[in-house]
Amino acid sequence: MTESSKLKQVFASLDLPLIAAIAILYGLGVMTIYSATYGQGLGYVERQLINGIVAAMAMVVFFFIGIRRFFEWSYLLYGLLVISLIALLFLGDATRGSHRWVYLGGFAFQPSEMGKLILCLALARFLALKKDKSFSIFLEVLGLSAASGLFVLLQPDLGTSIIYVVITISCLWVWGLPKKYFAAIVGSGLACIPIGWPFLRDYQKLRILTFLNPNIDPLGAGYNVIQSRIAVGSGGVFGKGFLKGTQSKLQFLPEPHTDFIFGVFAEEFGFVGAFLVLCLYAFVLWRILLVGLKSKDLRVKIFVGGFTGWILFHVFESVGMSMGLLPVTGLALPFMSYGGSSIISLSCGFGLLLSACLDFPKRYE
Amino acid sequence: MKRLDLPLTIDKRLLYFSYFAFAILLFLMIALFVFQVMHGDDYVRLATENRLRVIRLSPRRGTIFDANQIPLAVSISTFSIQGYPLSMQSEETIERIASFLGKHGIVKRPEDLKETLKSQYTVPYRSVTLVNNLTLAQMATIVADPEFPQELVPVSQWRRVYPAGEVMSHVVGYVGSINKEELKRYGSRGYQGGDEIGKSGVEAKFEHLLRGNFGGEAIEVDARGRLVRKLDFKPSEHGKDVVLTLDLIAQQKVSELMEGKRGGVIVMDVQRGDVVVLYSSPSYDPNPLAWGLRDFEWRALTKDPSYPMMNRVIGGLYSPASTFKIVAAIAGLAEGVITPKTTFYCPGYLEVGNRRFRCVRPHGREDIVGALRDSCNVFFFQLGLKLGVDVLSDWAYRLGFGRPTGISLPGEATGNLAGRRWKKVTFGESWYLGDTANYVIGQGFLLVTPIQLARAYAAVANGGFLPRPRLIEAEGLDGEEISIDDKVLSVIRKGLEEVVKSGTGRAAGAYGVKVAGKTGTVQTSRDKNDALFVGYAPADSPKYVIVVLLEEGESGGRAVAPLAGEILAYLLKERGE
Repeated sequence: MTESSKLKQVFASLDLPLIAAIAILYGLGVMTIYSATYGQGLGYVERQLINGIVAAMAMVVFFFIGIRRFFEWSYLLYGLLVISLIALLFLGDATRGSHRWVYLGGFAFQPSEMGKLILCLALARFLALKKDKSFSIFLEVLGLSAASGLFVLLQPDLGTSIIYVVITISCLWVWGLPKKYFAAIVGSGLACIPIGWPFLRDYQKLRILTFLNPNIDPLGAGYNVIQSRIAVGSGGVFGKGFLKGTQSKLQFLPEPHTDFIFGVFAEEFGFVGAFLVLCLYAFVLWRILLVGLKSKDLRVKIFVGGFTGWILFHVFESVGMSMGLLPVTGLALPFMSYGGSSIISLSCGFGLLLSACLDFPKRYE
Repeated sequence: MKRLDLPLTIDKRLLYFSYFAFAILLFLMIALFVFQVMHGDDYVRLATENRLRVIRLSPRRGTIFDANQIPLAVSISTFSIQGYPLSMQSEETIERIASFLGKHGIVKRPEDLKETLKSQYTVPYRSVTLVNNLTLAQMATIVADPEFPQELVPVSQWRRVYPAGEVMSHVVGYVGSINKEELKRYGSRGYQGGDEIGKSGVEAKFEHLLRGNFGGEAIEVDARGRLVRKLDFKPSEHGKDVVLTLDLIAQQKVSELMEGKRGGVIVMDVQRGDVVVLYSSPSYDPNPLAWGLRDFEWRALTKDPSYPMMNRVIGGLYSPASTFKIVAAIAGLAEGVITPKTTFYCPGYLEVGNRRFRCVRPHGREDIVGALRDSCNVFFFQLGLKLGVDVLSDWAYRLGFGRPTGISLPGEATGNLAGRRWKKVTFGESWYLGDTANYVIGQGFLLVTPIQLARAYAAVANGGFLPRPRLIEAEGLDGEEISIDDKVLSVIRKGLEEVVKSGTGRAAGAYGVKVAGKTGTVQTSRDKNDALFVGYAPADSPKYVIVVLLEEGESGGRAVAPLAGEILAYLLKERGE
């Protein structure tokens, strides 16, 4: 086979509709960031454009390296992740009271964000050949995930550590963990609420309390919940139009370009726009799951499970929060929120996913 | 069989997972439908007339007292008029408000109001202060006016007053409106545009104690901006009071003695480092600064050639002149280079290299005590050359020179030890013996602050403890122990006593208190001197250390020593507990 025909084959295997959907979401995101920061210069838009270019390049690089190599490296990468999370706790510079960021030559990056991808890879490799669905393997997996998740929780970054839990549960589900264990997870999770409560930071407690009753603190956190719901609701069926959202323009919405970006979008584009965005996410998730169904590689299937859980939970939380249905955690809306770490790690994941399409028939058992 | 079965289970689970994902998304779509389509109109109404308003309630700033509970900085209750940017968007509204205020004698042009709105703006529903510092009577007539605009909110507010005025301003400092840089730096601690913040002195350094916490009130208003109901209320928490170690009455006395002179005075407890008097002359009245100066007034104050805003005691850099001789004396005795019995012969000058360094007059044979008493340069040239500059500057550092004392006031200068390395770096020149000769008598490039001198002399007086000067007792006792044999220090003390008994500082002893100390005179130009006296009293059991500095005074002995003596006598006889 010649070099060019090989390349042709590679391109033929690409899931172009999936790539198009991601690109549209990213484009809508840039547009919304433009609107959310309207009147404050183009700084955020420019930086998000750079983030997009970097993310696209990362996707290409990860695509060509391929998911199989990454499965091989996954334990090593996971070790590096744990080390860097620990180092961050001790050396990190606390931005707004938490240790999340690494600064590399002018760029700030959150290792915990890339950690989501590494966790998916490591769990997939670990679980793929474990045929025996025993309790001890279940415990081993929990230990493996806790090794990184705990340090993320300590940063403190409650939102991201919840994603680690979601990824772990998703991988376990796809792997075939007996349903009774899931009952145990839910049960112990509920039991943890009163035990874990005192360990939460004040602002985390406040977010949860104000979610349960926004009128507890209308001067502070509850205010955001109320205002975001007003933003979404006042969008109506067709929205107020691009750049015409009053809630975000008059700064009733906090952090409109990151946490509350869906509120800004839904206010300006209404139910029609918001519905279409959710359809795009549904389409993306469907294409991801198709990869899992088609591939004969067990690791890919489990990876797909974790990856789906990751994206699904981000969308669920970010959209639900903007309507005041879920507590505020500051999770990014995939591909739409401003910020480099989130979009780059997601793109790396999609690069790997697309590389898995190259050789569906290859078994790994 | 199992090998075939396993992938099937996985695929089934993947399928279920996709159903779950779609169910979640469907749930979100339904929720959106409920909020945006079914209740959209309600939320549109809520958004267009966003009815929540937030008022900030400012806390009372802590009072600053002197050691005898006399208030030095107090907050008094005044009133202000606030308004919301959201309800003051139209030209017409602003003009109406401006003319209403004008009717009540408050001159605010519409442009002024717009500027105020812009400078304090955070979010449209948070109030900004339009008019400050109204009395209760003014406020009552304004609110009683039937034309009082609905957009305005009367709020009670605190204003800072400094009853001690310029007597204490260099210590107490003043507050002012927070500026852009401060807002950037402290924004995370809950400051907002229009807030008051300590700008200098204790007001700035103890801002965290004095400030207190802001409260707030959330109210719902109707479409015309009128109060419908209160939603939330959080009272403000008052700031903590601060009690200084300073004595206002003594400080007042010092300010009278320093009237018309340029310089500074510090008096400190020799054991604990409690600052009793800290006065820099000329001083300034902090009251107009706290209320807000106009640009030209501020310029006049900062451009004044006598620098009233500079705290000379902690921020002024001076040659220590002969007061620095104790460093060589301590170093010489401690290093064993001389003993109390060692003598040098003073013919009135010393040739170093090819330069002739002069003494005041020929002193003949002098030992260390005599040399301190007569301030004999030749003795110290000889001693300095034996010690070498490196040992000298090392001891100067140990005695607290060339580094801040750590007093809790902003703007403390470090000084300059100006040793061998410094000269190489600054001028690219090597160190000459002549430099050492200048160095040992406190001339040349060496620069110190008065408070550094006070601390070093306190260590001599108390037997080797270098206290950190403190302004409030709550700071706790702090400092460092210098390891010097007390025999060494007792020789120095003997010398300093002789200075006042029969040497250059006799004038300090004329007030009925036994003083020990050292004079210093720096020629700053042809006929002008900076004059210094550093000493302590009572000489037998030291309680206070004092530094008196006069810029362009006559000489240390004539001009400054009597001032120091009078202040020490006043403190020990009339202010003693």
